[in-house]
Amino acid sequence: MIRFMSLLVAFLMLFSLVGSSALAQVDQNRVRNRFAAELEKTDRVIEQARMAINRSNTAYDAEYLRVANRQAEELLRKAEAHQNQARVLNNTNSSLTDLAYGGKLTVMARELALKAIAIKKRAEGKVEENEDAILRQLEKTDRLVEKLREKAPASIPDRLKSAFDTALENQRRAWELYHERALRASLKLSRQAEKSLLKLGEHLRSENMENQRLQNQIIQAEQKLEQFRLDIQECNSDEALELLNQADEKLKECYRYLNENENERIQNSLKHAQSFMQKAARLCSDTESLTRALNKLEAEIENHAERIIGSGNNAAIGLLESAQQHLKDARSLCDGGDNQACAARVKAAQMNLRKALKLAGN
Amino acid sequence: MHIFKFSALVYILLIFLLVDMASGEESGAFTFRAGLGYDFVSQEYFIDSVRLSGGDSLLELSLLEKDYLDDKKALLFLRYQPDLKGQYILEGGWEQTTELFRASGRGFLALGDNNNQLQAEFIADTKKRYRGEIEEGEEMTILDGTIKLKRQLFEGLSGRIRLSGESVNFDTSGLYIYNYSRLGGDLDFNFITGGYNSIYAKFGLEKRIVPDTVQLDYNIIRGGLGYLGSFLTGLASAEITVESKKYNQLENPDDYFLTSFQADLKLPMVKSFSLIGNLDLENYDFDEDNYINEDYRQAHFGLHGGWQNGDLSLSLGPEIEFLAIKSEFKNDDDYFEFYIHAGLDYFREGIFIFLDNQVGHRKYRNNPLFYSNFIFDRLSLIGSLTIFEDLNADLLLSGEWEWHSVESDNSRLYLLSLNLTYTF
Repeated sequence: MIRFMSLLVAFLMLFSLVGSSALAQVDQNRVRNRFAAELEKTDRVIEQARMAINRSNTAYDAEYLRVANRQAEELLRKAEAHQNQARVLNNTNSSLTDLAYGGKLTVMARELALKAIAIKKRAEGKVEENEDAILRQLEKTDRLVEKLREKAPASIPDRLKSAFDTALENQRRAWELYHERALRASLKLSRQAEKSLLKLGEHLRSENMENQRLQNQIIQAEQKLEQFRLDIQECNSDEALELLNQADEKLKECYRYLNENENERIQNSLKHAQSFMQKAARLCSDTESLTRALNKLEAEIENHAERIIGSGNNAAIGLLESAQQHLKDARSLCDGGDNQACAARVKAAQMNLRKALKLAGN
Repeated sequence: MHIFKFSALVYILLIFLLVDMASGEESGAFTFRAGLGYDFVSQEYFIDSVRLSGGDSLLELSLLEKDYLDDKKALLFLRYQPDLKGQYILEGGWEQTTELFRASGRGFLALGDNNNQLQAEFIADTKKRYRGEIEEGEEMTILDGTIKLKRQLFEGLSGRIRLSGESVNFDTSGLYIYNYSRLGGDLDFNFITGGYNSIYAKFGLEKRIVPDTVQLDYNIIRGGLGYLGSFLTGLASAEITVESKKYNQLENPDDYFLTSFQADLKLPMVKSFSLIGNLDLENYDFDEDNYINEDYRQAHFGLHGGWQNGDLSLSLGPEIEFLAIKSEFKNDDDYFEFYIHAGLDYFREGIFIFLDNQVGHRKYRNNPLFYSNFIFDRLSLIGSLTIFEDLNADLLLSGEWEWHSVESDNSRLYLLSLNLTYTF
């Protein structure tokens, strides 16, 4: 038993000795790998710092940028020195203490390289901007110019023309400054030009919307005019016909003014056109005209009734009956002096009769 | 000698215009624009730099002032535009400062109506110095041409194709001043829905060619989708854009992929009051993981109350902006900016004024090494006044003041453009 216990203790001691040594080896490998990764990371930052320093300097404010460059260079040189020291420690003979020291060195080197980049970026930032950012701004403003010019130069009203020209002029100058490498000034000027163009665009847009609204009104008035033309066929009034022709002339005027962006004139012509149409409508809705229309419609219904019934189409027959009912109602409304309601019933009767004839195959 | 050499195109154009005018036909289609102007762009900033001399270093603080532009100029332009619709325009002109001159010509042609239209435009511009020492990149000739075709494809759907080319040539090129050409094409589709709302999609390609060094050539691909029209009781516009830029160089740190979103809203409230909102989002994803260009996200949001009474409109409200840089550098330049925006627009026949002012504060969140928090005032004034019939004055003024917590970071920027033109 004692022998067994001794053997067990010896085995455990041996195991712990071998185990701790193996564990220490594992730990050292992990630190070594981590150190190599950190070194590589710092190499990458140093490379970027070198690129940043070697990147563009401009003719402008060269003295200031040169000083900044020298500062950045100095820091980068220190970073490279630290990194080289750290690199020496990256070998298989290095102890854990060496590796930890090397890690510290490479992190310091990285911080210095990052500072070098920051100095360079800041130096450029004072007098410069990122070239891509400027280019994007210039192109953005150019696209805005395009948008405003989209409908040909005449779409820019005279009162906005000189402001538009000034904005264009500033955008052109912004491009020139960009070409001369005065990037910050270029950016500011282009942004200011963009601001002007956006404001002008806002006004143009609201004017265009007004223009669109007027165009819709003209289209509606045209549709109304067409309807009146149909209506006065029943009314048989030359005077009403003449009024509608005048309304038509006014609507043509509206289109002419629309092209010239003369919104006030459009509104006037629209008013006139509507007034002519209302007069025509009044002429055709007086008692005499309505009675004439009623009689004419009654005769029409009588003429076509037999044919519609003969067609055997139930829908057509239903519409015919409905037309007859509307006619009857219209007559009593007219007799009662309610011309407006009478005219509406006449209209309904006419529509029913036309539809019935269509369904009956006429 | 240079004048004649480089301005030949403009002279030809002017001669053509004058001969045509002499023929007496449509003399009303000719207009002269003569004017005087003044342009000024200046920046003031403090520099604190460590001057290195041998082993010693010395902190030096100085105020630097840089005038990018300080030009008094005179100009004369002749324009030929045979009908009011502006379907055909030829323009040539001359602009001169005390040291530089610029000659330019422009031709524009549009055929067809609003639904189906072909547009072509050509611009030639040359700038020379006739007094003083020539700076790099100052003397140049630019040729620019665009051709566009717009077609109504179906009821409510229109398409547009645009091809463009630009060539920029410097008389003296340098390390960072190089000749280049840009060629591009865009394809847009615009769908008009009921209620005149518009949904559009666009796709574009662009290539820059730098003859001296192919490494500076780049290609851009961009696409976008947008909406413009009614929203709730008001008007809204929204656009999402993606853009990729690649230089002709392996792993160029400037290659990027950009996603941006922009939206505006105007909601009428009671009487003459309205609510105006805007939102801009940008996400830059640079292809290479590096410390020169770091990926970042930028957001801007504004909400204003607007009031309009006839020709006058006022707006007032807060705006915020923040920048988040994806950086391994713990002291990165992330910031948060807050400001109050006030605007005044006055617009009537013969006069308009757009005045904007932003007063606010920018706070850098991670105590960056080289930037400090600051209070700012950004002022912008754009105005136009018809003094007498065809005599017009235009003004563009901008000022930016920054007062930093570290005084040596203070800066000012001024921009002024003043033009007096007479058209006859």
